[in-house]
Parts: sequence; C-alpha cells; structure tokens
Amino acid sequence: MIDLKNLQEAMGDLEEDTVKEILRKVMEEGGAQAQEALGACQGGMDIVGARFESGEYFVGDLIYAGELMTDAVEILGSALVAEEASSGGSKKKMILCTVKDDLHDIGKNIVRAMLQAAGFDVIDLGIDVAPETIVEKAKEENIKIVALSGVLTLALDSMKATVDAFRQAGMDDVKIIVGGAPVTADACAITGADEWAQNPQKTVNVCKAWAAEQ
Amino acid sequence: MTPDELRQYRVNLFRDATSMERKPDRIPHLSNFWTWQVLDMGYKFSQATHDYDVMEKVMLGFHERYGFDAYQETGIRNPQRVTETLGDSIYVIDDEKELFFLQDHSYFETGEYDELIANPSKFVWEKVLPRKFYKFRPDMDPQLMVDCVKENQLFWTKSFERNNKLAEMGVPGLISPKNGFASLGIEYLFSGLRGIRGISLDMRRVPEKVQAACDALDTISAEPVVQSLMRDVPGPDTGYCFDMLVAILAHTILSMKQWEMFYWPPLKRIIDEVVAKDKTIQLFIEGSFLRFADYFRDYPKGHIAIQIESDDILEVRKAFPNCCVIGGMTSKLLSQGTKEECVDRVKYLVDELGPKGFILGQDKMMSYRVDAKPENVLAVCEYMQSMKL
Repeated sequence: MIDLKNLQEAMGDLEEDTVKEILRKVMEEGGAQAQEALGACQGGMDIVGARFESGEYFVGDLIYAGELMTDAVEILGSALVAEEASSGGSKKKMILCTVKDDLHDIGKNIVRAMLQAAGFDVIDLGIDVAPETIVEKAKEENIKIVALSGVLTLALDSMKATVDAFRQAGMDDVKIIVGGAPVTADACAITGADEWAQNPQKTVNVCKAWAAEQ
Repeated sequence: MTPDELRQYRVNLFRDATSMERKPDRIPHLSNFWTWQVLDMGYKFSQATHDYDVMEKVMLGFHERYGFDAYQETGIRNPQRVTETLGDSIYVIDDEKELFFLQDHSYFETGEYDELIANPSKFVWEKVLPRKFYKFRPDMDPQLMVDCVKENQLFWTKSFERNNKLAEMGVPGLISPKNGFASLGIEYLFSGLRGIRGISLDMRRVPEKVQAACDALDTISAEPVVQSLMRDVPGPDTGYCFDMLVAILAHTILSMKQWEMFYWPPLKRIIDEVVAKDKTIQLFIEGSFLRFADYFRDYPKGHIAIQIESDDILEVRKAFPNCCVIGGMTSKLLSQGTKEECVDRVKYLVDELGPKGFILGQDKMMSYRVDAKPENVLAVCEYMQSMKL
C-alpha cells in the first residue's frame, strides 16, 4: 500500500524522485492502486495550480509539473488502461489545440497536462489547426468543450474564425475557451468565445465548471 | 535644425527624461515597431530580410512617414542571409500569412552541461552550431564558412550604412556602442541553447548545473561588458540615447527563487557598474515585471529606464519610482481605437507620467499588421512632434 497523502504532497512540491518512486511501487505491486495514485497526483496538480496563482510557482514550474504529470500517467499507463476499459470510460472528453497560423505549443502543453490531471480526456489536435479540422473532430467525438491556445496576436483572428465556424455549423452548445498571451477580456469578446484565460488554472476551473453543467 | 542639431536634440530628450530631474523639451517617442515596419512599407518579410536595399527603403521610409525620435529596431534583428549560409531552419517566415517568428529549440541535453561549463565557447562551436545549422559540420566545405563571414561583413556594413543615413535624417542611435548590449547567461540558455522547455526542466532537476552554466556563459557575455564599463570613463556618452541595453526575457518563466539564483546577481553587477560610472541603462523587458520591483528600489534616480510590455504603466511608475518608464501606448488602442482615442491616451499619459521620467513607447513589439492601424500611429506621431511641455 502506498501513502496517497505523501504522493499528493510530493506532486505539489514537485519532488520528481519521490513521485516516481511511489508510482513505480504501485506498478510493482500489480497496479491495483493506480487509479488512486492518479487521483493523488491530480490532487498534487491542484496544489501546483494554487501555488502558481499565489505567485510561489511560475511558468517554468508549470512546464516541469506538466512533464511530471505526463511521466506519471506513463508509469501508471497499463494499469490505468485496464481500469478505464473495465469502467467503460467515464472521463469527460474535450478538444485542445493551438489555432491556425500559430506554431507555439509550450502553453498548450502545460494546459493539456493540467486538464488531464483534472480528469479530462484531452484530444490534443496539435498546433496550427484549421477551424474546419476542429469542428469536424468535435462533431465526430461529440465534444462540448473546446480550448483554443495562441501566442501571436494573429492567433486572435484564427480564434474568431474557429468560434465562427462552430456557430455556422449550428454547434452553439459547444463551449469555447480561448487562452494565451494576447488574450484579454476585450480580445475574448472579439473572438466570440465563451470564456478566456491567461493562466492554466483558470482554464481548468472553467472547463470543470462547464463539464459539471453538462 | 540641421540634422546634427536634430539628432542631438532628440538625444537630449531621452537623456533629460531618463535623468528624472530635467524636464525635456517634449516627451520623447520611442519606436517599438519591428516587423510591422516591413509590412507597413509595402514589402514582404523575406524581401526585407534578404535584400538590403529593400531594408533600407523600409527603415528610411518608415522614419520619413512617422518620425519617431529613436528606433528600437533599424533592421539588424534578423540577419537571415548570414545564418542561411550555414543552413538555418529555426525561423518561420511565411510571406503569404505574414508570419515571422522563432520556434523554441533545445540544442543540447541535460547530460551535456559539464562540457558547456568546462568551456562554453568550445561547446557552442563544436556542439551547438552543428545542431543549429545543418551545413555546419566538421567536414563541411571551408568555402561555406568564407561565405558566412562575407555575408556577416556585408550585413554589418549595410546596417552601419543604413544607420548613418538615418543619422543624416536626424535620428540618433539608441544605445552607445562603447558598452552596448549585454545578454546574461540565463538568457542564452533560455532562448538560444536549451529552450524554454529544456531550461524549465533543468532548473528543477539540475539547478546546480544550470547555475554553473550561467556563470560560465556570463564569463563570455555579461562579464566582458562589466569589465568594459569599469575601464570606461565616467559619465554618459552624450551622442546616444542610452549608454547600455539589457533585454530581459527569461524572467517570464522564473519563480522568485530562480530569479535570485540565476538572474539577479549578474544583472545587479551590470547595473551597479552603470550607476557607479554615472551612465544610463535601458532595460527592455518582455512580459510582466512588477513582481521584481523591490530589487530596483535602492538605485538612485537617473540611471535606469525600464521598457515594460504587459504591466499597466501607471502601476509601473508607482512600483519603480526611481526609474524612467518607457511605454504606455497600447497595441490594443493602436489596432482597435480611433485616432482621437489614441491621442487622448497620449495626453492622459503625459499628464499622469510626465514631464520627467517618461518616454512614450508601444506596449509590445509591434510585429504583425493587426498590431496597429497606420492612421493611428501617424496621429500619435504627429501629436508627439508638435507637443510642447
């Protein structure tokens, strides 16, 4: 049996060696506690998010936390897949990508890790993704939450084009959040998106609230 | 005014504003326009970076049209033709979409820090450059290197010619070449060697190696500038707007603890020497900087000018009462507002921040067409040129 509280704290403190040691122990013991361990890691990521908001952690720490969370999921991988299959798959699916004409992915990847940690099944469409590709994927997977990332000011045009594409497709029930350096409340209004964020924790909170409503 | 008189007049505007004691004749106006200039003058990015005649037309034409007092960028930021001789593949230039930017790259792995620390120059030549430029290899044709050196000479010759022509139009150089530009070790790791992702992981996993690498890189980057300052005669170089420039970018990912460990010691060393020699320094800062205000509180007025992107400039003034502030004109207003709204913003800023210790600039590196409407930029420039304090 592993100490879940210890794992959560280690994740929150970004103690990589401790986190990985505990997770490997979970797998050595057969993986029965994999889901609980993942939950503890998710709790640890909540601590990371809170420390980011309080100013104790900064962007570099979030990048590191994202890597650590990705590694954690990888270590627990096979046990989680088995458990997910047996439960029928209950995670909320959503789409995340960097919009067309923008090739930046660092911010997107941080957000992806934090959304995954928050329990979302994130379909990451990558970078420079055209509006029609996002709409098509959303239709195909019956997605109701979409997060659009961008760093360049040009990204705002692509975000607007993506929101317009969803509205033109009659998919008004899809909630869209835009995020990244050029995004402000005014910019959000121009794009027509439902919400905006300049930090990943807000993105997570908004998406969790939307998921709870659906 | 003759061009020489106009040039000196403009230098004095910047010097007076930075002094925070003398009232300038009017508020100086600094251009933070970068690749936007190319598009505005009707050219494509690749044309301007590959044809020096086009770049000259861009810069001279831009000044003729708008008449800023000084320019952050005069066409020397992107030496495409030089790097392309060795096979550069990290820039993204798309003329059709009007895109121009660098992608985050890492040129070495965590396990190679000891080699970098032992001899940073050797490491860059033998490890980094071959990974950055695909033609740069031990067995490459020596003619490639000759071509690269020639292109580099041509680039700087053309840049100096361009700057001389701007000087003949009354435009001063922004930074004195005596001590020039300093980049800190952490900045090289952040944007040139290890990339944003790589350095973020390393600062957590191997902080002592990152620290040692910063120290080693500083010996060939920041330290020579400190030594140059120490050898220099006291007092400003009054032919230029500022005596020195440091671009601060990596702080955007650093926690306070990391800032204290990796950034502040070499930066403090430079600023201390600038102050000791009664010179001025422009800090060109990306992103938000308010959280670092305490580190600057003890410096006397008259030496530091901070150019801020993301923060509210009125908040910056409060947080950095001993520093001249540069900025205030928002890209948002320049791109979405009316001419009247833009000019009203200038009047408001002058009332709130002037007349001492304020230089008007744009709140971001103006890069893409959507960043500003030309008519708004023109309205602001015309107002600035006609204002009297």
